[in-house]
Amino acid sequence: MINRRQLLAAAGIAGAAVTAAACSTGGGKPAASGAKPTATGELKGNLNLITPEFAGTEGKADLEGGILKKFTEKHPGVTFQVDYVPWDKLNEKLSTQIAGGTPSDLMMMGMGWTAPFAQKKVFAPLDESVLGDAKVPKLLLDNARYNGKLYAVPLLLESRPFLYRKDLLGKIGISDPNRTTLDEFTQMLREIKTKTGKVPLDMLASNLRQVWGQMTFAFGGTQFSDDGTKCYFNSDPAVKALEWMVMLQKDGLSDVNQRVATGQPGSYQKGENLLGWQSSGVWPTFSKQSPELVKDENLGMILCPTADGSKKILYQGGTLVGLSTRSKSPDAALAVMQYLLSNDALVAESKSTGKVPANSNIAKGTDLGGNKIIDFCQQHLDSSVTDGGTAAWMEIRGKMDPIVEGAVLGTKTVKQAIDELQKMAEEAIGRIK
Amino acid sequence: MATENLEFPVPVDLSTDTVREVRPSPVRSPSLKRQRLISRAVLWVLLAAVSVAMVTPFAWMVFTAVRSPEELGQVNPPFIPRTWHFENFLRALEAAPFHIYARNSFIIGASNVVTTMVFGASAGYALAKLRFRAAPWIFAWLLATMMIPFYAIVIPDFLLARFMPLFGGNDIFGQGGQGWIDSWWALLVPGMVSAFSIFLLRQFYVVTPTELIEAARLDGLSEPRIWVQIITPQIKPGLLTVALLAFEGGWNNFLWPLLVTTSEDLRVIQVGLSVFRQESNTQWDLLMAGTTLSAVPMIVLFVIFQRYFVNGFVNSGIK
Repeated sequence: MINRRQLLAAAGIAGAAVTAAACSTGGGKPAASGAKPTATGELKGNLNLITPEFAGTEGKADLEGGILKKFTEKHPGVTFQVDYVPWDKLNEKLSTQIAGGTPSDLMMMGMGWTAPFAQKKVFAPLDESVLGDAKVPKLLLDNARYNGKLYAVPLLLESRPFLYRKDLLGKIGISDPNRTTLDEFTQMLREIKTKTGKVPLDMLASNLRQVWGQMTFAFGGTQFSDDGTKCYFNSDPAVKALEWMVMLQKDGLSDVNQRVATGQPGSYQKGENLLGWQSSGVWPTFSKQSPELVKDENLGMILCPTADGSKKILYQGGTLVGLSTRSKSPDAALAVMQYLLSNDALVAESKSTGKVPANSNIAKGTDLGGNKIIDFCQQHLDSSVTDGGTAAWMEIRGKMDPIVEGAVLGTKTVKQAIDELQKMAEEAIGRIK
Repeated sequence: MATENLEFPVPVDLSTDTVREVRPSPVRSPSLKRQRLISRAVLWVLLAAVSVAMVTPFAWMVFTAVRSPEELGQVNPPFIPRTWHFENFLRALEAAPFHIYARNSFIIGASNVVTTMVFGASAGYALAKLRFRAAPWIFAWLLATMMIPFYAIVIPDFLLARFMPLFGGNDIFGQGGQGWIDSWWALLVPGMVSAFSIFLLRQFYVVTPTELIEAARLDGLSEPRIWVQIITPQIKPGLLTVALLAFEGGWNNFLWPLLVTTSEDLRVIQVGLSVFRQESNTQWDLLMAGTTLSAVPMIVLFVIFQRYFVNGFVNSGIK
């Protein structure tokens, strides 16, 4: 018979064991650096894949019943356990998995997330051969690097071109709003405002952090050093980008206050603006709710010009996939990664998710589901830019919006906002050094 | 005094009852009546306004669930849809295996109710009626745990589930397997009892007459029987209130089930609803249809038990 004291002692020991176990990092060894897919040998393993894409019955059927099935037909020794997680809770899910020492073999995540997770040794470095024949835009690959090594592979992109109303611009004599330089583009916005009295551009009602990121590139800059340890928020291009945004707001060329409540149609969709900085993902919504907007005679698309007119740029959000350092079947996982980036698989992924394939090898005219914004962006992947590029990005990005908004709305000067942004970013980077 | 103006004779023996009968003054009554009428009207208008404010979001949710895509894209859609698309409910149900999700949520909710009734009530009774030195400290500790947001403890909770010894392939030190992760244990055990339930039930037990317990002890009843047969029946509204809250907590739980499960067979209804929210495209009609369906059980339960629910909160002293 166990007495009360013995029971308490046993409970104490069990509690200490749980605590000790919880504090440990679990089993598994980091994968060898520069993991590369092996062409020989039979692939085996049960792979866990965590993804914010392919949600719902249809998405699951597309992924598991179509895309991954084609892989397992060739490699019957490989099985999949797919964990579908919504985007807004993906960070929490990944973080708890990592803390628990049970990260999935393959982890899909957002643009800019690679460096933070690579720095924590969650992702294994990849050999460039994992890209296979895929032609991924350089800037996007750079975003998937940390300390010069590739840690993830971009798969699907959410692009942000300027959409414009051909019909409405035609009425005021502008048949083609494509301009070489940013100054010319701004001048055209003024002309539209004068002629129509409307706010010409729906841009500042979007995510201001992303707008600023794109415009920093438009002014010839970048946000972080290559190794992600230095922040350039106070560099000349970044300052000019913020000043440009402030000017848009002051001169009524774009308006933060056109933001709408979640679920409401945006101001471009409502016809309040003639141009809109829109996501490639709006196509299904426009097609169902405002079909006149996607008709050929009404819908035009252009890229963002740069200040010096040397090129055009296209902001990209997106979905990347990384390999866990704790994967028990790294060969199989790498083969899957390479397969997911292949043309056939990417086309199927694009059709299912409504996102742009991050591979410019896909031939022009390939059916990507009838989404003309995707088709347009797919043809301009070389113009891709994106924000992020430091291991401290997850901390920095959440704090940027209110500061940038303060400058745009005039509650603080550009200098104050820039100083605040720079200080905040430097402190965040300092904490991870 | 009011009695000086009375036109009819006042009885000599002014008992309390008699005074009550004669006090109404015929002179003042119209004014009082008007005042009462006005205050009642104001009260009704106020209550009606609050009711409308409370019901409008639900009505908007239901109407959005049956709107056409064209109406969803309108700047100012009509409050009541012009055309009703009930097929949206069917489309929502087909978009994900909601029958599995609803079953799982129900099991979690029902399990929460049973375990909370047993553990929460016993803990609440002990804290309220059993005299031991640590009682105030334990109660204070329980209150303190309620101040900590879930986000602050989610990773420690996850680690406890992950490294649970002797479960999910783990050894005695919690290594080698995945513990409770992706199992019913992780879904059910952490929700077995909450500090709030214990607190609420304690508040109900506190106001029950201690004399009943003493009388029962004199009659030779054991402590468990006093708790189950004598005192707990006194707090039925409280039990119903806590049961409803426990079920609601299980039914509406989202983040924890998402974090500790990977299999679709273990996913819950709130996780299923996230299917309709993609990165740049939300299917509002289907999301609202799914949300409406998921809200139905809670609304039905509340309608059935609302009297007890409201009484429960009033009697607990936390209204």
